[in-house]
Amino acid sequence: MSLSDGDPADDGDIWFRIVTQQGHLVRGRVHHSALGGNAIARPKEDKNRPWDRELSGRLRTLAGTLDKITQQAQAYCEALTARGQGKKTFSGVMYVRVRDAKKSFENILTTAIHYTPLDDDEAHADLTFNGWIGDTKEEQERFNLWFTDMLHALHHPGQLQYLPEASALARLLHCLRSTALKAMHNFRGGVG
Amino acid sequence: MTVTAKIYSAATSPSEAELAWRYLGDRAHIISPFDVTDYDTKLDIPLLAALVSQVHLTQTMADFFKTVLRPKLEMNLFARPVTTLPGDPALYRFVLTDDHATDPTPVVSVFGSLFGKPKVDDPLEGYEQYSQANWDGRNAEPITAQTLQYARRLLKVIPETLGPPDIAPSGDGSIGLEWVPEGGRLHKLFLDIGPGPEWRAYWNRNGEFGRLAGTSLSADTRHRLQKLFNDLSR
Repeated sequence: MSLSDGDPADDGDIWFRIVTQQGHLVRGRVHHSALGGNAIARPKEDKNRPWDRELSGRLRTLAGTLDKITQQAQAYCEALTARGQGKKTFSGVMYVRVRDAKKSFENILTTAIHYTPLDDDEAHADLTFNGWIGDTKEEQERFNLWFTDMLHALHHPGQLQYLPEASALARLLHCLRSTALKAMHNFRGGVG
Repeated sequence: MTVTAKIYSAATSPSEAELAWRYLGDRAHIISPFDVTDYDTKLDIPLLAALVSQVHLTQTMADFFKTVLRPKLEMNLFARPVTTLPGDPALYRFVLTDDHATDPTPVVSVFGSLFGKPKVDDPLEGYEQYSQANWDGRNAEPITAQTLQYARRLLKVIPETLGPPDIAPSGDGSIGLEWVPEGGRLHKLFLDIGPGPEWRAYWNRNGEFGRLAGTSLSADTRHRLQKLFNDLSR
Protein backbone atom coordinates (compact mmCIF):
# COMPACT_ATOMS: atom_id res chain seq x y z
CA MET A 1 0.00 0.00 0.00
CA SER A 2 1.07 3.53 -0.63
CA LEU A 3 2.04 5.85 2.17
CA SER A 4 -0.94 7.88 3.28
CA ASP A 5 -0.98 11.25 4.95
CA GLY A 6 0.16 10.82 8.54
CA ASP A 7 1.79 7.43 8.11
CA PRO A 8 5.17 6.78 9.69
CA ALA A 9 7.97 6.74 7.13
CA ASP A 10 9.97 3.59 6.41
CA ASP A 11 12.92 3.08 8.69
CA GLY A 12 15.33 2.89 5.78
CA ASP A 13 14.25 6.19 4.24
CA ILE A 14 16.02 9.50 4.69
CA TRP A 15 14.32 12.65 5.96
CA PHE A 16 15.92 15.92 4.95
CA ARG A 17 15.18 19.63 5.27
CA ILE A 18 16.28 22.45 3.02
CA VAL A 19 18.47 25.05 4.76
CA THR A 20 18.45 28.62 3.50
CA GLN A 21 20.93 30.26 5.89
CA GLN A 22 24.57 29.44 5.35
CA GLY A 23 25.46 29.80 9.03
CA HIS A 24 22.94 27.16 10.03
CA LEU A 25 25.19 24.39 8.77
CA VAL A 26 28.66 24.12 10.22
CA ARG A 27 31.22 21.51 9.21
CA GLY A 28 28.79 18.63 8.93
CA ARG A 29 26.52 19.57 11.79
CA VAL A 30 23.44 21.67 12.28
CA HIS A 31 23.76 24.89 14.23
CA HIS A 32 21.17 25.11 16.98
CA SER A 33 20.05 28.49 15.68
CA ALA A 34 18.55 26.65 12.72
CA LEU A 35 15.91 25.32 15.12
CA GLY A 36 14.90 28.65 16.63
CA GLY A 37 11.76 30.65 16.07
CA ASN A 38 9.04 28.87 14.16
CA ALA A 39 11.14 26.05 12.71
CA ILE A 40 9.62 23.56 15.12
CA ALA A 41 5.93 24.38 15.12
CA ARG A 42 2.61 23.07 16.33
CA PRO A 43 0.77 21.09 13.66
CA LYS A 44 -2.22 22.75 12.08
CA GLU A 45 -5.30 22.09 14.19
CA ASP A 46 -7.46 20.98 11.29
CA LYS A 47 -5.01 18.17 10.58
CA ASN A 48 -5.65 16.52 13.96
CA ARG A 49 -2.13 15.16 14.12
CA PRO A 50 -1.30 12.76 16.94
CA TRP A 51 1.92 14.66 17.67
CA ASP A 52 2.66 17.96 19.41
CA ARG A 53 5.33 19.63 17.27
CA GLU A 54 6.78 19.13 13.81
CA LEU A 55 9.81 20.12 11.79
CA SER A 56 9.08 20.29 8.11
CA GLY A 57 11.13 18.34 5.55
CA ARG A 58 11.02 15.75 2.76
CA LEU A 59 11.54 12.05 2.14
CA ARG A 60 14.42 10.87 0.00
CA THR A 61 12.50 8.08 -1.72
CA LEU A 62 9.82 10.47 -2.91
CA ALA A 63 11.95 13.50 -3.69
CA GLY A 64 13.56 12.03 -6.81
CA THR A 65 17.07 12.51 -8.12
CA LEU A 66 19.60 14.92 -6.67
CA ASP A 67 18.94 17.19 -9.62
CA LYS A 68 15.24 17.22 -8.80
CA ILE A 69 16.00 17.85 -5.13
CA THR A 70 18.22 20.76 -6.09
CA GLN A 71 15.64 22.21 -8.46
CA GLN A 72 12.91 21.93 -5.84
CA ALA A 73 15.16 23.53 -3.20
CA GLN A 74 16.02 26.43 -5.47
CA ALA A 75 12.37 26.96 -6.32
CA TYR A 76 11.57 26.84 -2.61
CA CYS A 77 14.19 29.50 -1.91
CA GLU A 78 12.80 31.69 -4.66
CA ALA A 79 9.34 31.36 -3.15
CA LEU A 80 10.70 32.24 0.30
CA THR A 81 12.55 35.19 -1.15
CA ALA A 82 9.33 36.45 -2.62
CA ARG A 83 7.60 36.12 0.76
CA GLY A 84 10.30 37.31 3.12
CA GLN A 85 12.93 39.96 3.55
CA GLY A 86 16.00 39.52 1.43
CA LYS A 87 17.29 36.80 -0.83
CA LYS A 88 17.26 33.19 0.38
CA THR A 89 19.83 30.80 -0.96
CA PHE A 90 19.86 27.04 -1.02
CA SER A 91 22.73 26.43 1.40
CA GLY A 92 22.38 22.71 2.01
CA VAL A 93 20.31 20.18 3.87
CA MET A 94 20.01 18.73 7.34
CA TYR A 95 19.12 15.08 7.32
CA VAL A 96 18.64 11.93 9.38
CA ARG A 97 17.78 8.36 8.54
CA VAL A 98 14.24 7.59 9.68
CA ARG A 99 15.41 4.72 11.87
CA ASP A 100 17.85 7.04 13.66
CA ALA A 101 15.16 9.67 14.18
CA LYS A 102 13.22 7.45 16.53
CA LYS A 103 14.50 8.75 19.84
CA SER A 104 13.34 9.62 23.29
CA PHE A 105 14.35 12.73 25.22
CA GLU A 106 14.35 12.53 29.02
CA ASN A 107 11.01 10.69 29.08
CA ILE A 108 9.47 13.95 27.90
CA LEU A 109 9.10 13.46 24.19
CA THR A 110 9.68 10.96 21.41
CA THR A 111 10.61 11.75 17.84
CA ALA A 112 9.72 10.07 14.54
CA ILE A 113 9.22 10.83 10.86
CA HIS A 114 5.72 10.99 9.40
CA TYR A 115 4.66 11.39 5.82
CA THR A 116 2.68 14.64 5.41
CA PRO A 117 2.26 15.43 1.71
CA LEU A 118 1.35 18.92 0.58
CA ASP A 119 -0.45 20.04 -2.54
CA ASP A 120 2.81 21.36 -3.94
CA ASP A 121 5.13 18.75 -2.46
CA GLU A 122 4.27 15.05 -2.63
CA ALA A 123 7.54 14.21 -0.83
CA HIS A 124 6.79 16.34 2.21
CA ALA A 125 7.34 14.73 5.61
CA ASP A 126 7.69 16.02 9.14
CA LEU A 127 10.10 15.16 11.88
CA THR A 128 7.53 14.89 14.64
CA PHE A 129 7.63 15.32 18.40
CA ASN A 130 5.20 13.43 20.58
CA GLY A 131 5.13 15.29 23.87
CA TRP A 132 6.90 18.61 24.24
CA ILE A 133 9.27 20.38 26.55
CA GLY A 134 8.14 23.14 28.91
CA ASP A 135 8.51 26.83 28.34
CA THR A 136 11.56 27.52 30.47
CA LYS A 137 14.88 28.53 28.97
CA GLU A 138 16.61 25.61 30.65
CA GLU A 139 14.30 23.07 29.07
CA GLN A 140 14.86 24.64 25.67
CA GLU A 141 18.60 24.56 26.22
CA ARG A 142 18.65 20.89 27.23
CA PHE A 143 16.59 20.13 24.17
CA ASN A 144 18.91 22.08 21.85
CA LEU A 145 21.96 20.19 23.09
CA TRP A 146 20.20 16.88 22.65
CA PHE A 147 18.40 17.40 19.36
CA THR A 148 21.34 18.82 17.41
CA ASP A 149 23.14 15.53 17.98
CA MET A 150 20.51 13.75 15.92
CA LEU A 151 20.95 15.73 12.73
CA HIS A 152 23.62 15.72 10.04
CA ALA A 153 24.42 18.47 7.57
CA LEU A 154 25.50 18.74 3.94
CA HIS A 155 26.48 22.00 2.33
CA HIS A 156 25.43 23.13 -1.10
CA PRO A 157 27.04 23.43 -3.50
CA GLY A 158 29.56 20.63 -3.21
CA GLN A 159 28.18 18.02 -0.84
CA LEU A 160 24.67 17.10 -1.88
CA GLN A 161 25.94 13.98 -3.64
CA TYR A 162 26.67 12.61 -0.16
CA LEU A 163 23.01 12.65 0.79
CA PRO A 164 22.43 8.96 1.54
CA GLU A 165 20.12 6.89 -0.55
CA ALA A 166 17.21 5.28 1.18
CA SER A 167 17.90 1.64 2.01
CA ALA A 168 17.22 -1.00 -0.63
CA LEU A 169 14.17 -2.15 1.29
CA ALA A 170 12.75 1.36 1.50
CA ARG A 171 13.31 1.84 -2.23
CA LEU A 172 11.72 -1.55 -2.97
CA LEU A 173 8.69 -0.65 -0.90
CA HIS A 174 8.45 2.66 -2.70
CA CYS A 175 8.59 0.87 -6.09
CA LEU A 176 5.92 -1.61 -5.03
CA ARG A 177 3.69 1.20 -3.85
CA SER A 178 4.16 3.13 -7.06
CA THR A 179 3.41 0.02 -9.13
CA ALA A 180 0.35 -0.76 -7.04
CA LEU A 181 -0.88 2.82 -7.43
CA LYS A 182 -0.47 2.70 -11.20
CA ALA A 183 -2.24 -0.67 -11.35
CA MET A 184 -5.15 0.67 -9.30
CA HIS A 185 -5.27 3.77 -11.47
CA ASN A 186 -5.40 1.65 -14.63
CA PHE A 187 -7.96 -0.71 -13.12
CA ARG A 188 -10.25 2.22 -12.44
CA GLY A 189 -10.00 3.30 -16.03
CA GLY A 190 -7.82 6.27 -15.35
CA VAL A 191 -5.52 5.61 -18.31
CA GLY A 192 -4.96 8.58 -20.50
CA MET B 1 36.40 47.27 7.96
CA THR B 2 36.76 50.40 10.01
CA VAL B 3 35.58 49.98 13.52
CA THR B 4 32.92 52.37 14.71
CA ALA B 5 32.43 51.60 18.33
CA LYS B 6 29.50 53.52 19.66
CA ILE B 7 29.49 53.02 23.38
CA TYR B 8 26.04 54.46 23.87
CA SER B 9 25.27 52.59 27.01
CA ALA B 10 28.64 51.41 28.19
CA ALA B 11 29.20 53.94 30.88
CA THR B 12 26.68 55.25 33.33
CA SER B 13 29.07 55.81 36.20
CA PRO B 14 32.76 56.66 36.63
CA SER B 15 33.56 53.05 37.46
CA GLU B 16 31.90 51.89 34.28
CA ALA B 17 33.74 54.57 32.36
CA GLU B 18 36.99 53.13 33.66
CA LEU B 19 35.89 49.73 32.51
CA ALA B 20 35.09 51.09 29.09
CA TRP B 21 38.51 52.68 28.81
CA ARG B 22 40.07 49.39 29.68
CA TYR B 23 37.90 47.71 27.13
CA LEU B 24 39.10 50.10 24.48
CA GLY B 25 42.71 49.44 25.38
CA ASP B 26 42.18 45.72 24.95
CA ARG B 27 40.17 46.11 21.83
CA ALA B 28 42.78 47.84 19.72
CA HIS B 29 45.41 45.26 20.64
CA ILE B 30 47.94 48.00 21.25
CA ILE B 31 48.68 46.86 24.73
CA SER B 32 46.65 44.58 26.87
CA PRO B 33 45.44 44.83 29.45
CA PHE B 34 45.63 48.53 30.18
CA ASP B 35 45.63 49.50 33.81
CA VAL B 36 43.49 52.58 33.94
CA THR B 37 44.87 53.63 37.30
CA ASP B 38 48.37 53.91 35.84
CA TYR B 39 47.71 57.22 34.11
CA ASP B 40 51.20 58.64 34.12
CA THR B 41 52.94 55.99 32.14
CA LYS B 42 50.23 54.62 29.92
CA LEU B 43 47.82 57.44 29.46
CA ASP B 44 48.26 57.60 25.73
CA ILE B 45 47.36 54.00 25.17
CA PRO B 46 43.61 53.96 25.68
CA LEU B 47 43.39 57.32 23.96
CA LEU B 48 45.19 56.01 20.97
CA ALA B 49 42.97 52.97 21.03
CA ALA B 50 39.92 55.17 21.19
CA LEU B 51 41.09 57.45 18.44
CA VAL B 52 41.98 54.84 15.90
CA SER B 53 38.77 53.05 16.70
CA GLN B 54 36.66 56.11 15.93
CA VAL B 55 35.04 55.87 19.28
CA HIS B 56 32.06 57.90 20.20
CA LEU B 57 31.89 58.71 23.89
CA THR B 58 28.91 58.97 26.14
CA GLN B 59 28.44 61.99 28.37
CA THR B 60 29.85 60.10 31.34
CA MET B 61 32.91 58.97 29.49
CA ALA B 62 33.47 62.43 28.09
CA ASP B 63 33.22 63.87 31.61
CA PHE B 64 35.69 61.29 32.81
CA PHE B 65 38.06 62.28 30.06
CA LYS B 66 37.76 65.99 30.80
CA THR B 67 38.12 65.79 34.55
CA VAL B 68 40.53 62.92 35.03
CA LEU B 69 42.46 62.18 31.89
CA ARG B 70 42.63 65.48 30.05
CA PRO B 71 44.64 67.35 32.72
CA LYS B 72 47.31 64.68 32.53
CA LEU B 73 47.58 64.73 28.78
CA GLU B 74 50.11 66.77 26.84
CA MET B 75 48.14 66.86 23.63
CA ASN B 76 45.81 69.42 22.14
CA LEU B 77 42.96 66.98 22.36
CA PHE B 78 39.35 67.65 23.20
CA ALA B 79 36.09 65.82 23.47
CA ARG B 80 33.68 67.51 21.12
CA PRO B 81 29.89 66.93 20.97
CA VAL B 82 28.60 65.32 17.82
CA THR B 83 25.18 65.86 16.33
CA THR B 84 22.64 63.36 17.51
CA LEU B 85 18.94 62.99 16.99
CA PRO B 86 16.58 64.56 19.55
CA GLY B 87 16.09 62.13 22.39
CA ASP B 88 19.28 60.19 21.69
CA PRO B 89 22.05 60.25 24.29
CA ALA B 90 24.71 62.93 23.96
CA LEU B 91 27.81 61.71 22.19
CA TYR B 92 31.32 63.07 21.91
CA ARG B 93 34.30 62.39 19.76
CA PHE B 94 37.91 63.45 19.94
CA VAL B 95 39.13 66.40 17.93
CA LEU B 96 42.49 68.15 17.68
CA THR B 97 41.26 71.62 18.50
CA ASP B 98 38.70 73.30 20.67
CA ASP B 99 37.79 75.85 18.00
CA HIS B 100 34.05 75.43 17.81
CA ALA B 101 33.78 77.93 14.98
CA THR B 102 35.42 75.62 12.55
CA ASP B 103 35.05 72.03 11.64
CA PRO B 104 38.20 70.57 13.11
CA THR B 105 39.83 67.58 11.62
CA PRO B 106 38.88 64.53 13.63
CA VAL B 107 41.91 63.13 15.35
CA VAL B 108 41.04 59.75 13.99
CA SER B 109 41.89 60.86 10.48
CA VAL B 110 45.31 62.03 11.68
CA PHE B 111 46.03 58.72 13.31
CA GLY B 112 44.50 56.97 10.36
CA SER B 113 46.98 58.62 8.03
CA LEU B 114 49.83 57.70 10.33
CA PHE B 115 48.94 54.12 11.11
CA GLY B 116 46.28 53.23 8.60
CA LYS B 117 42.75 52.37 9.53
CA PRO B 118 42.50 49.54 11.98
CA LYS B 119 41.24 46.30 10.58
CA VAL B 120 39.15 44.45 13.10
CA ASP B 121 36.98 41.61 11.90
CA ASP B 122 33.36 41.96 12.82
CA PRO B 123 31.96 38.45 13.15
CA LEU B 124 28.49 39.97 12.93
CA GLU B 125 29.13 41.90 9.77
CA GLY B 126 25.98 41.96 7.67
CA TYR B 127 23.67 41.00 10.53
CA GLU B 128 21.67 44.17 9.94
CA GLN B 129 19.89 42.13 7.24
CA TYR B 130 18.11 40.25 10.05
CA SER B 131 16.64 43.40 11.57
CA GLN B 132 13.29 42.96 9.85
CA ALA B 133 10.65 40.48 10.86
CA ASN B 134 10.33 37.41 8.66
CA TRP B 135 13.95 37.63 7.52
CA ASP B 136 13.93 33.89 6.91
CA GLY B 137 10.61 33.78 5.06
CA ARG B 138 9.30 31.65 7.94
CA ASN B 139 8.07 34.42 10.22
CA ALA B 140 11.31 34.84 12.14
CA GLU B 141 11.52 37.47 14.85
CA PRO B 142 13.82 40.38 13.96
CA ILE B 143 17.27 40.63 15.49
CA THR B 144 16.93 44.12 16.88
CA ALA B 145 19.56 46.83 16.79
CA GLN B 146 19.73 46.56 20.58
CA THR B 147 20.45 42.84 20.43
CA LEU B 148 23.03 43.30 17.70
CA GLN B 149 24.77 46.12 19.51
CA TYR B 150 24.85 44.10 22.70
CA ALA B 151 26.14 41.02 20.88
CA ARG B 152 28.98 43.02 19.35
CA ARG B 153 29.97 44.28 22.79
CA LEU B 154 29.69 40.87 24.40
CA LEU B 155 31.73 39.20 21.68
CA LYS B 156 34.62 41.44 22.61
CA VAL B 157 34.80 39.98 26.09
CA ILE B 158 34.16 36.35 25.23
CA PRO B 159 37.38 34.45 25.90
CA GLU B 160 39.34 32.88 23.06
CA THR B 161 40.10 29.83 25.16
CA LEU B 162 37.96 27.53 23.03
CA GLY B 163 38.67 29.27 19.74
CA PRO B 164 36.25 31.32 17.66
CA PRO B 165 32.58 30.36 17.90
CA ASP B 166 30.32 29.36 15.05
CA ILE B 167 27.74 32.12 14.92
CA ALA B 168 24.29 32.05 13.36
CA PRO B 169 21.07 34.07 13.52
CA SER B 170 18.08 32.45 15.16
CA GLY B 171 14.43 32.81 14.23
CA ASP B 172 13.60 33.79 17.82
CA GLY B 173 15.53 37.06 17.44
CA SER B 174 18.66 35.88 19.22
CA ILE B 175 22.17 35.22 17.97
CA GLY B 176 23.54 31.74 18.64
CA LEU B 177 27.18 30.90 19.30
CA GLU B 178 28.56 27.37 19.35
CA TRP B 179 31.76 25.66 20.32
CA VAL B 180 31.92 21.97 19.54
CA PRO B 181 35.44 20.71 20.28
CA GLU B 182 36.54 17.57 18.47
CA GLY B 183 38.00 15.97 21.58
CA GLY B 184 37.99 16.37 25.31
CA ARG B 185 35.34 16.25 27.94
CA LEU B 186 33.37 19.22 26.67
CA HIS B 187 30.88 17.93 24.14
CA LYS B 188 29.16 21.20 23.26
CA LEU B 189 28.95 24.76 24.50
CA PHE B 190 26.15 26.99 23.20
CA LEU B 191 25.77 30.65 24.05
CA ASP B 192 22.65 32.56 23.00
CA ILE B 193 22.71 36.34 22.94
CA GLY B 194 19.38 38.16 23.15
CA PRO B 195 16.75 39.05 22.40
CA GLY B 196 17.80 42.19 24.23
CA PRO B 197 20.81 42.62 26.50
CA GLU B 198 21.06 39.13 27.94
CA TRP B 199 22.99 35.94 27.33
CA ARG B 200 22.71 32.29 28.27
CA ALA B 201 25.55 29.81 28.07
CA TYR B 202 24.76 26.11 28.36
CA TRP B 203 26.79 23.05 27.76
CA ASN B 204 27.14 19.31 27.88
CA ARG B 205 30.32 18.13 29.54
CA ASN B 206 30.91 14.52 30.44
CA GLY B 207 27.24 13.95 29.72
CA GLU B 208 26.17 16.52 32.29
CA PHE B 209 24.20 19.65 31.59
CA GLY B 210 25.28 23.02 32.89
CA ARG B 211 24.20 26.59 32.38
CA LEU B 212 25.17 30.16 33.19
CA ALA B 213 23.23 33.30 32.32
CA GLY B 214 23.77 37.02 32.54
CA THR B 215 22.33 40.37 31.61
CA SER B 216 23.84 43.62 30.51
CA LEU B 217 27.63 43.92 30.46
CA SER B 218 29.20 44.58 33.80
CA ALA B 219 32.70 44.45 35.15
CA ASP B 220 31.91 40.96 36.29
CA THR B 221 30.87 39.63 32.88
CA ARG B 222 34.34 39.12 31.45
CA HIS B 223 35.47 37.48 34.68
CA ARG B 224 32.52 35.08 34.76
CA LEU B 225 32.97 34.10 31.15
CA GLN B 226 36.70 33.63 31.51
CA LYS B 227 36.19 31.40 34.52
CA LEU B 228 33.55 29.40 32.67
CA PHE B 229 35.76 28.89 29.63
CA ASN B 230 38.71 27.96 31.81
CA ASP B 231 36.63 25.41 33.70
CA LEU B 232 35.17 23.93 30.53
CA SER B 233 38.52 23.63 28.79
CA ARG B 234 40.04 21.49 31.54
